[in-house]
Amino acid sequence: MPIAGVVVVTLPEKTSEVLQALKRLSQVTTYGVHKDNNIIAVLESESTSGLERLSNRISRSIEGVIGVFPAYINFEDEVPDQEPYPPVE
Amino acid sequence: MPLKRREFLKASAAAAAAASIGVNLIPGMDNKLFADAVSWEKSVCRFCGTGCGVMIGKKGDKVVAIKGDLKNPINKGHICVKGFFLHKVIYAKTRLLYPMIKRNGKFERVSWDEALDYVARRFNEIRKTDGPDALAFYGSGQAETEETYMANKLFKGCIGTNNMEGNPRLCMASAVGGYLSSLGLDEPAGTYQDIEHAELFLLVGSNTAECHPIIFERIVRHKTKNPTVKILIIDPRKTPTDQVADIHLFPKPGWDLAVLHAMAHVIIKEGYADLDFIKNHVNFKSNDGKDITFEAYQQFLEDYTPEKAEAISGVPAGDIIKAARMFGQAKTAMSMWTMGINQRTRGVWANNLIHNLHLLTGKIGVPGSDPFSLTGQPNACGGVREGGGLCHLLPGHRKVTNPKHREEVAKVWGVPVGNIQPKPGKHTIAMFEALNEGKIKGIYIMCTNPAQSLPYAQKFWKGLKEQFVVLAESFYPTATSDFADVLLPAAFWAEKEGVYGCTERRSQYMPQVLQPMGEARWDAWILRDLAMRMGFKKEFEKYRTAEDIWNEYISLTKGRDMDLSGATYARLKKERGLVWPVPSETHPGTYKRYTQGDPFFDELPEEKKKGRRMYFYGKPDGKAVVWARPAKPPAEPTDKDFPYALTTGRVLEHWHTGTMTRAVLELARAVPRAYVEIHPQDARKLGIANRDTVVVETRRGKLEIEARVIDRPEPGTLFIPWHWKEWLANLLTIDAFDPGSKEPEYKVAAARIYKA
Amino acid sequence: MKNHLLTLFGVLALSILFIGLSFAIPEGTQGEKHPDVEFDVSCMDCHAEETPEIVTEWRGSKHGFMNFGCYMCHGDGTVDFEIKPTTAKCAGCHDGYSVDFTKLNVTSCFDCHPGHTLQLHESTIK
Repeated sequence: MPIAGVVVVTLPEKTSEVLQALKRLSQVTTYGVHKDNNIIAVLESESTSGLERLSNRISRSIEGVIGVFPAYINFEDEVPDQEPYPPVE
Repeated sequence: MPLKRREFLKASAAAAAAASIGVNLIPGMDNKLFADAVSWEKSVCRFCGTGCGVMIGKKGDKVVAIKGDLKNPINKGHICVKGFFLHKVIYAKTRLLYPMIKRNGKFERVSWDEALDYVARRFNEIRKTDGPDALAFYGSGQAETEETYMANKLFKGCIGTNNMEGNPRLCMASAVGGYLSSLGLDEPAGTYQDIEHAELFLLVGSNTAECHPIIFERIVRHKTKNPTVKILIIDPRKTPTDQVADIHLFPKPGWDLAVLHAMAHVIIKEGYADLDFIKNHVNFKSNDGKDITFEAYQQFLEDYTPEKAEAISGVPAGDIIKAARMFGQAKTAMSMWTMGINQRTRGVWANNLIHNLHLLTGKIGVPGSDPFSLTGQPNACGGVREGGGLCHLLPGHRKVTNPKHREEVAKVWGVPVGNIQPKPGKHTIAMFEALNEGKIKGIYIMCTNPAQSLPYAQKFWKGLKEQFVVLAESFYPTATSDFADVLLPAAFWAEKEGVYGCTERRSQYMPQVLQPMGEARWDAWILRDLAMRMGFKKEFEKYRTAEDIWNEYISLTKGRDMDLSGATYARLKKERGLVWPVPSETHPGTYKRYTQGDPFFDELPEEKKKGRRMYFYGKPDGKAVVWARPAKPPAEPTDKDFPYALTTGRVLEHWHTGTMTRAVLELARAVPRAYVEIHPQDARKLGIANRDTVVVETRRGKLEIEARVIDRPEPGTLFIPWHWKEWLANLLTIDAFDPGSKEPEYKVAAARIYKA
Repeated sequence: MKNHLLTLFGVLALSILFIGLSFAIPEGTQGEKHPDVEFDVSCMDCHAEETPEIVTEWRGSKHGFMNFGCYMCHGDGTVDFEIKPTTAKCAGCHDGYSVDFTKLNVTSCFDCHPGHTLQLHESTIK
């Protein structure tokens, strides 16, 4: 089951709302807000494609998200089914 | 536990993500609650009488957390759900912040000067026209010793009335009566240390798990380590304490005296009595106080066979025999009891019968053996029993009827000895009766809530409504504040310093860590300033600090059985309390009374100690008393019209009238409302389903309340927790009281129940 | 009772709670929203119907034994509510066990001592 450590960058005035929204997602663990508008989070999914869908969902469906930037990915036992998880625009 | 790989990976992932933006994220740095608390100070829990040590965590000028005090020998770091939320009580929205005077039925905010001048003027008017006995004080086992001491001096020493009572009358007066009549002096001989040495616990009339959770925790811990430890419960109701019971006897409420006698009967018959101990340490007395022989006592017990006790109490004879054998066979035994025994019209006798079991078997005065009464309030033992906050007492376990005692106290108080009346004042129920009758015209109520807590409460609302009522409280509104004419905002726990004395004779110091909220002031200073305005300037102006008051008080305990003269503030601030007698500043405190290691025992001349391991020095010949008390029924047995026995009590999450715990959202949510417990068998018979609204009715009142169909009470018994003023259990309870202790019978009333 | 809880919560929060049990999460989740229910029903009465597995698990645990309810770790449900409680509150009662997580490979007390299933080492419970 892959894991990704990501930085979720938000619009400065929306940071706390984004944080709350992230906390409601069961596959997301948040590790606090840093440097004003950077939320450190860990995403978990069944597969890397699941991670990608989750990441897209965060950036598209949560208002105020500028971007989701991964810094660490672990695949554990899974063989990656595609290219390492790409940054979302 | 092996490393959890996934957690590790997640932490790494988070750390890497954080590092990518230049943030150092160390796993575990989330300890927000306590990381915020920059300073910790040791104190004592504000709730029950266990006396748990707590640490107050403070950041800036705010208390942000409470944790158990690891170094406290009582709770060793553990605290229960109530203590955990103490800091939230401080900041309750219901804090009373300003003095208020009721005008035209409405409270108006006034200055302290105006409030105190007004009270002083009214009290002096009443004193002048109707005499000192038209005034009264009603205090609390939650007040600090220093506070009760000031009230005692003002009322008994200066105003000159012994109408000075406190809610411990409703709580442990029967335990006092039991200790005095059986062992000669008040308060237990042992301490909590006995728990870890006991082979058997007799828990009678005590829901230890919910009402004294930390003591329960210690018992469970001990039993877990030592599976042969036995727990024997006598109580009309199954409670969470039953989770560890080896045997539970269920007497009908109020009919348990016969069970205790039958246990004594079996113990002697089957040879479990310690004849040597009896010979050297015990006298036998009949109910009228005449000496009788051991043989005559056995003759008396002939009437209490297990079979007869079964007929009286409903407890199967076989269970009584089994329980008696367990008690007899255990090498050591510790009995613990609370309101189920004390709040009875024969509370003192019930206490005596528990002491009897220990005296007959010699299970006293050795580690692990003690008849040990549990206390409901944090300073009932310290402030009220030792401090003399009842109508017949003076500080230092003294009595108003004793001329020498009056003289000693008057001298220290700096008042003419004639000021202290030689006759006891009115006990609590008599006091509120006198208020109803207009014989008492002014009352000062401190830190308690009698409009909710008195039995048959509505009966006493008349007097509270008609007479001049001053209420010093930290919370508003309360059931009692509705009746007050003047409200004085009192500083709450942590906003004042002082001493609490808990169940095990241990006195502990509490620091002030906060400024009182709003205009609240320390009760002792409110009383001092009121006294000075009433004309007692000379007597009260000398008190400048809490320590001044404490020092004067402990000087009065010098040489008394509860000697605290070595327990100075300096020592108490450092130590986790001291267990009296503490006769000097170098004395470590006393684990066991009446035996080796007790300074009073050690000082006895050798000829008195000869052949004895204990000397009950409160008794003329040093011998404790086994009492042959008749087994009397409750004041109001069930009958055809009121066929159910109603008993009241507590839940873990709330405390007393709920003014503190109900202000904590977590605790309020945990148990948001009162209910009546009814056995499924009874419920079926009456067509009552779980959560139905029912009416519980006694000869005094009725209450609409939610039914909880549960097998906790036995068939024929109902139970209501009493913490809510909206579902006021005391509309139903009876104001009949024990003729000895004057403690009312909250635990038994005849009731009926039907669907609303 | 069922209508006290939003259906959505039943699905979403349960899954969060179950995960929260075994994988406690470093950051506190203050600000999480408990569904709007009638709070004159006790936490335990409602959850006995809504999340019976958790309540049963809890009852068999040391916390259940001592009757230390939901609110001790999860808060009151409105002002203070944490679906995944922080470990900070543990120390309120368990002062004897101060832990330096920087020296451990776990991030929370709950990693080794899950609150709902905490067991007595030797069972005293009958």
